[in-house]
Amino acid sequence: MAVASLVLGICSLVFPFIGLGWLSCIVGIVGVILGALGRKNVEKKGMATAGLVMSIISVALGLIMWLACAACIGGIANVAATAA
Amino acid sequence: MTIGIFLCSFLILKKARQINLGFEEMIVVMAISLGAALFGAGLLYVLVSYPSEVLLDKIVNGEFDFLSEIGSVYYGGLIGGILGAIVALRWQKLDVKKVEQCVVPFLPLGHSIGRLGCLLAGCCYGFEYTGPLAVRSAFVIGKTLFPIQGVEALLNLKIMAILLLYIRKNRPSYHILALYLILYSIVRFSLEFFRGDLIRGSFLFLSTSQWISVILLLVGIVVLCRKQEQ
Repeated sequence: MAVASLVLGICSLVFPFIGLGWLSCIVGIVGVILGALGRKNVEKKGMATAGLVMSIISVALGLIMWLACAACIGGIANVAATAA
Repeated sequence: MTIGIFLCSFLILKKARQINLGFEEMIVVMAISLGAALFGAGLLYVLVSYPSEVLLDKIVNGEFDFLSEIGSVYYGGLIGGILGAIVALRWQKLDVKKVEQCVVPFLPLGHSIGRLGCLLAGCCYGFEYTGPLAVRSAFVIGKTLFPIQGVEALLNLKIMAILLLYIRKNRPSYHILALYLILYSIVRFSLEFFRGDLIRGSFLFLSTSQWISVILLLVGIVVLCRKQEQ
């Protein structure tokens, strides 16, 4: 589980930068679950923690990329409306 | 919304540590709830944004382009998150009462921050309004609108304050959640009359969110009464 979490954490960190924020969220959430379960194994706790942290970061980035588009479009149009 | 989710998660984990809930178990419960909440929010958005015939045609013809424009509806997220949490709690064998005590009071805080995001983005806007504190929205060019997102954010903070006072005493399982459902459904039902984005769908004389509010209010009252009898 620790290895799976680490792999998913690394993979999901890439997705937000290629416009796949939603995929990053899904893979990241699975990585978080596996990382948390993997931390119960004392021998692989370090690896599981690394996977957990990377998965949490990728969920955050994925959510930002997923939701930021709406905010950016809204902000730009708002500025345009104010200027007009 | 992202800031709201992560601030809430931080506060929940801090509270969980105070009442001796396992860190790993709580992470699993929160991750499953978040996944279910995002799925529910997206699903309800699709259901209320597209007519059923159009949606069915798109699925039959294999046109899934609408998924890239997916938004989120809070009620879908709330219902999905609650169902996800119930499943995760049974799996991780955690005490419902304890988890409820450290999760539910922070939900309105996250929602409040999410609504401030709506205010900045211009979505979920109010009716046309020219009085004090009127705001502009990207979705309604050239008009000023009622800052309904700000009002909802403030009311959510008030709900959080009530819930934080309520959890001071020992309460039965699902009691805190039921109170939150009652308070929020009343707030949401009332605020829907001030909304201007009618694209969210309506049935008979009420909007979709108002119908869900009525159902959740009844569920909350039933749960609260049953627990009081016990």
